[in-house]
Amino acid sequence: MSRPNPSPTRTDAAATASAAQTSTDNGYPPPAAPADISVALLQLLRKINAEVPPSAPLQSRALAAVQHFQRISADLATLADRPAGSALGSGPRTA
Amino acid sequence: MFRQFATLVSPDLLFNAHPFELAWLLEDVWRGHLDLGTSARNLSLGDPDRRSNLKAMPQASAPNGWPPLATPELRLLIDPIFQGDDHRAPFPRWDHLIYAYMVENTRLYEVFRRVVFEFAHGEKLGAPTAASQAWLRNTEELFFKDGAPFFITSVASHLRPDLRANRRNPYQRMFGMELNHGGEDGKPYPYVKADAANNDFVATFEEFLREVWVGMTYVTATSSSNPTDPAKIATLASKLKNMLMSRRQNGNLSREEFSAVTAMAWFHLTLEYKNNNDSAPIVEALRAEANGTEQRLFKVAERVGLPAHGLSKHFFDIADPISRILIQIETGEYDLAEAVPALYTPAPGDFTPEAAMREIITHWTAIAGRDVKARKVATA
Repeated sequence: MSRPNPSPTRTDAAATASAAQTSTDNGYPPPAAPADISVALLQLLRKINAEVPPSAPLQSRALAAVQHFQRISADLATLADRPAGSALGSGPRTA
Repeated sequence: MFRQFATLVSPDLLFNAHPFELAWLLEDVWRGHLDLGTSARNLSLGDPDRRSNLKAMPQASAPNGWPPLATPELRLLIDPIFQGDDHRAPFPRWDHLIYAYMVENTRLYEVFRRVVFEFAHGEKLGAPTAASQAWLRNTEELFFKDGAPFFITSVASHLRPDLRANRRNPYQRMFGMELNHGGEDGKPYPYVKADAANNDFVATFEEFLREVWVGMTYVTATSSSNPTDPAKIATLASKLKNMLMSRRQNGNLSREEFSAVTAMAWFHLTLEYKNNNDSAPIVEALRAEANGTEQRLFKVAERVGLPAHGLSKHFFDIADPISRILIQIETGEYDLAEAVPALYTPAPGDFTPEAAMREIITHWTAIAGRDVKARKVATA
């Protein structure tokens, strides 16, 4: 009986999954070395995470929360919020 | 409040003003924010934009008559109130009570109490300089004696005569926390403790910080699963809001908060001064010049023989961001999971919730001695 030989055109993750299923069926050990499986798993995880763009822009409610916080901070601004040595009395605060 | 004033006028002007002018300025801030404001009338009492419905001193009948603000620059601070702009006061809010709690933990009130005491009773510290006389008078008038009758900041009475105890009580009610120092004799400071207190505040707030930190850690993750739980953060924020607003029902504790925050801001400004490492007249009189707010406090404390808290820098640095974040939490904005990413996602601009939370997490870890960046370990 020949051992299953995944097609080189399939993804590593699919190959690993397929091989694991086959090995369970026929009692043969998995064909790939542990290092290969790790690589396949990492690629699978990357694919999953790739669907969610990193540093996704804030949605409207979160953006509104940021803007509200900035208004609160402007209301409560002190000299400590300015660069050291900046001039005093530079005008009224912004709303 | 005094630190916000100092963004518009020199701290020297405040230090040299007549105490009645300063007390009146505080009345005007209260009036401008609460008495005259019309846009927030529909909000519930205690809301950050409607802290109370109590009235300040009666308003002036003529812009140039009463109130007694003879210093033109000080009038500029409150002129918008008299120019018909009754929708937005020049200082539309004051810091959260947590600001006063954090700053008072540095022990600066006790240290400056000793300063005023020594100057009032002898010349152990030398004779006060001419420039520091006005500061000494104002400090004693405003923060070491019962307030003038009818003023909104006068919270001492025959029923609650001790100003220090009058601040410890709201700290205990709002945060379930005591100050980290007792009296000068080292014994616990006596004050009335309330039964209705937010004893879960610290545990809830730390859980909130821990979950936000998880969000910060994974906000840019690309090669791992993301354990951030916005719904849990929203639940914790809602829980914090509910416990804080329960203590503020019908405007409760607003006067106490205003009084505590203005007192601590006065001493904080004295040490911070112009934020350029110059020293306030009283600091110069004590020969306590140094780099940084906490270093000046350490030197003043050394001069009067009463050590300040060793973690004072953390207390000073956390005070502003934690005040602003709690005010926003009280508005209920983070009750919605959709708004929660603002707490851990970097955003453009000078002041962002993410930057504030990062500062809070860093300093809270230092002052509480518990690492909120560490993952929780589940026990069986």
